[in-house]
Amino acid sequence: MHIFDDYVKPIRAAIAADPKSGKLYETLSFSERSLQKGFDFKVFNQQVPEKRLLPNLADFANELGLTPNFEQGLGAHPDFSHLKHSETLEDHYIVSMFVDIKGSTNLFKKYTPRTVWIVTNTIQRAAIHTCLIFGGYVHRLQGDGLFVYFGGKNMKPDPAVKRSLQFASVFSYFVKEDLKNIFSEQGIENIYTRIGVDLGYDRDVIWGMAGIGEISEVTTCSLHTSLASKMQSYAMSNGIVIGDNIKKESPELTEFYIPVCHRTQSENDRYIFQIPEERFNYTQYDFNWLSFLKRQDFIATDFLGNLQLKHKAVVMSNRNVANLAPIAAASKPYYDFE
Amino acid sequence: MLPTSRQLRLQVNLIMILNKKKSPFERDFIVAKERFPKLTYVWNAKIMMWVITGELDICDVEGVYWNTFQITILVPRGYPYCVPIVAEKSTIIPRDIEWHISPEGICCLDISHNLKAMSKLGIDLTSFISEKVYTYFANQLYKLEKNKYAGGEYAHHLDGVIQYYIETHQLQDKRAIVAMLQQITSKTNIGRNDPCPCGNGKKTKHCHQSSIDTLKTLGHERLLSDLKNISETIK
Repeated sequence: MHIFDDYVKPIRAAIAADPKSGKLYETLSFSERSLQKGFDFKVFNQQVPEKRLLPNLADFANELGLTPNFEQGLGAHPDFSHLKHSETLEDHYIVSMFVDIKGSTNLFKKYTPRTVWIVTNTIQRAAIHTCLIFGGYVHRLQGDGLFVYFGGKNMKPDPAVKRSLQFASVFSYFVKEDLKNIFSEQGIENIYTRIGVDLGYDRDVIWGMAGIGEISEVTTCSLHTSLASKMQSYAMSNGIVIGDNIKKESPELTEFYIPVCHRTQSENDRYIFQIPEERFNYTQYDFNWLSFLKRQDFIATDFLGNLQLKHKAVVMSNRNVANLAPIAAASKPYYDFE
Repeated sequence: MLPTSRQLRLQVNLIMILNKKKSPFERDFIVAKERFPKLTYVWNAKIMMWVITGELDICDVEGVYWNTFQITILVPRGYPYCVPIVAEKSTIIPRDIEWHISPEGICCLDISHNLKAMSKLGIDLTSFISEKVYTYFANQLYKLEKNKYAGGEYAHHLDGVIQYYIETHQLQDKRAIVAMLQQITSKTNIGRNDPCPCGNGKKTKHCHQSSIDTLKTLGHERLLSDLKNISETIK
């Protein structure tokens, strides 16, 4: 899709410049040297700015007609930030998502901590930037991963669910396809994601301040926030597991949901949570995010089956009719209607 | 209550039976859907055809997206031994004979002889869409840009049929076509060591054997009709 190409570049550069990787220092470009030798945070910030999307991702946001809101703070969803230092509680739905990035520890086997820092931070910034494009709120950074919310007071649950699934799918594609290539070239174990998503309705979610004084955050107390975290641990590599409420809120996506127990072949994995006395059985599903992504309006599947970003908003400068010819030339139409 | 292991086994067996009961079309559509994910199908009992509808996104060899066509593909019940009908529902292609599309949007993907020969061997849905449908729409986009097709086109009606015999079967002219069709449609069998009906003096097996085999699959009626129509243009 190329939307993360600009995020892949600094990762490649950092890996190439790592003293353990064996590349001669003299062969490195200026930026590679700067990144490695001086561990210059400024250089990193220039390559992957905090509050600016890199060009390809900016094109993607433009294509979707979405603008990221960079003015967010951790632990303070803007619709509920007034609850900080208050004694008020509010009931309001929210989509909770845990994005876990696994396998980064393996990087220490082959690279210096500075390289690992650049790699993990670039991935995390790509995740944050993408999350913001889809209107998510980064609630907490957890190691290399994220805990994010989707939805709020100006949005109904169903579009929030859709946005959350779009984000999770696009980010999973980045990790599964773009990053895979880098790490397989380097012969190290892959980095992969595991994502859990669930929706709690108004009746299920309490918003309020947790903690004391400045050691506090405005957060949710909800079974479904807890379940999102738990479901993440049931996801396979680069997999997404969603809860029953997500399925209920997106009936048009039913074909993409398969109960987790079908994969694990263990009936014990069908329900992520049960209250037998209340006959409450809450099912968890594997989300076929790749098929979902292929069906998105902003995605085209090319002749070889690869996913490509549609550029409807702008005429692509690199669009060359000569590149259509090899496919088109195989057709030789006829006309035999009266 | 959780299902017992026996119940689970029965469930799995049921799924397997249901999958086995899928028709060749349904099985092939699952594969085609991976490549063309925005297409869906329904069975239309009234016309006895599978009706595939949806969007076909066209990208070039560099993966750059060009356009999206709304299409319908009617697949006869006899799949895979059939010729699907393809129609464009969007109106990106001008409805003009020069664009090889009917006023209703039915697309003339290829000369009917090629399509018929293909159907005799049995089509594969994914290959059909990628080799015939995708390329047709890519070719239309090419023409929209360059005002000509990338890989040529057949002339309309009978002229296109003559072109087919000349280009595909390397027959020199209409007389050679007629000679060839007369031989194939006659009751005499053309032996592999017989002189080739094209008249160049070589044995058939070293000349038009493969073409004769292909043409025979088109059916006697089709060949007789071509023979009659082409003969009339010589008189």
